[in-house]
Amino acid sequence: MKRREILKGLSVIPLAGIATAAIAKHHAGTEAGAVAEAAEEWLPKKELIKTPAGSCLRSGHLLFIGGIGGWYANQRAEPGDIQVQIRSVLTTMKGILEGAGSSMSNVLKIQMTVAEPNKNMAKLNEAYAEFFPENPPVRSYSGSKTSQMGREGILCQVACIAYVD
Amino acid sequence: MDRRKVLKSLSLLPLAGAAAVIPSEVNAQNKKKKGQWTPKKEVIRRSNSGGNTNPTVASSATAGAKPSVPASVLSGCIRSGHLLFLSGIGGWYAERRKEPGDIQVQIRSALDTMKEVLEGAGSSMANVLKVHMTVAEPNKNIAALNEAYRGYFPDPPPVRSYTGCGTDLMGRDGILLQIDCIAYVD
Repeated sequence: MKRREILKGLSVIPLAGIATAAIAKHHAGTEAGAVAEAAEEWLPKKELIKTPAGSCLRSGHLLFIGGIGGWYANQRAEPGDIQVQIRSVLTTMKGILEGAGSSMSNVLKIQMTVAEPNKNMAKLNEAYAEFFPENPPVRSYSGSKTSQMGREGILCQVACIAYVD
Repeated sequence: MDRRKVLKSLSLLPLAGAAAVIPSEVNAQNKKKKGQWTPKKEVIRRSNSGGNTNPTVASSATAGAKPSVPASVLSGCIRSGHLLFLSGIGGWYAERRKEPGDIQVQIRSALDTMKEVLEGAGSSMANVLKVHMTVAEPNKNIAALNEAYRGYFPDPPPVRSYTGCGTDLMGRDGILLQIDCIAYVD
């Protein structure tokens, strides 16, 4: 009899093509199971996930986290500089992702708004790199003035899309 | 005996649509499987400036009407698998409404358009996952915007992020906001 060996590769390729997330081999005798897995539906369609660090939305194998501000008065007395703020944002992001069963290494896409980027981006990147040591997510940002960030004191706002098993 | 290898590749291609190469034979088999992530990329709507349910809109600009200026550089709405990607919808288009209006007029206009585009694509406001906005003078405008924004999305509302800038940096005079989204579709 012919048997099938099914190689299942879930490739997630945001923007430019990156990596393969998971490869599972199904050996002889597991054909039925493999087919059942192939029929996996994209669920949940939309689910609010609450974690101690904040909430996010899950759809299928994707997590969506909204704009996290670099400073909230109820979290910290002083706004702090861009490095304090980006660390604060990414620590919150990490908490939400891990609370939702994902991690920083699963982040696919980052979207940022940065106050005075010509002045702040280099310092931001220094701190940012600590959070994504390898295979960092794709990223884009918009710059604006410090007076146009929505609230006084805030220097960055960061949103992301991540993968979750 | 020989064994057949089936390579199953579920590729996610948001935004820029790079093409995943899948052997055609395998691709044909996969199409029959429930849960296969298709379409890979399908343009649902050419432009978002062709329709607006705002009552002040000129009658020619109804659903499905061709926009007066073809949006050649972008698509209005693209579907990939169970996701819809919408282009930025402006708060004001001169061909639709005489006066730009304030931030509340503009956010309502943009969200009405978003609703129409989503429903035209078989989705709804309840399925919106992620919203991103560019807002002119947010320190002044965001509170009023939120007032009008609330109520458009049933619980749980989509995640949201925004960028602020000066009114002279919005791309066109008079426009106070631009809003895009990613939504789920069955």
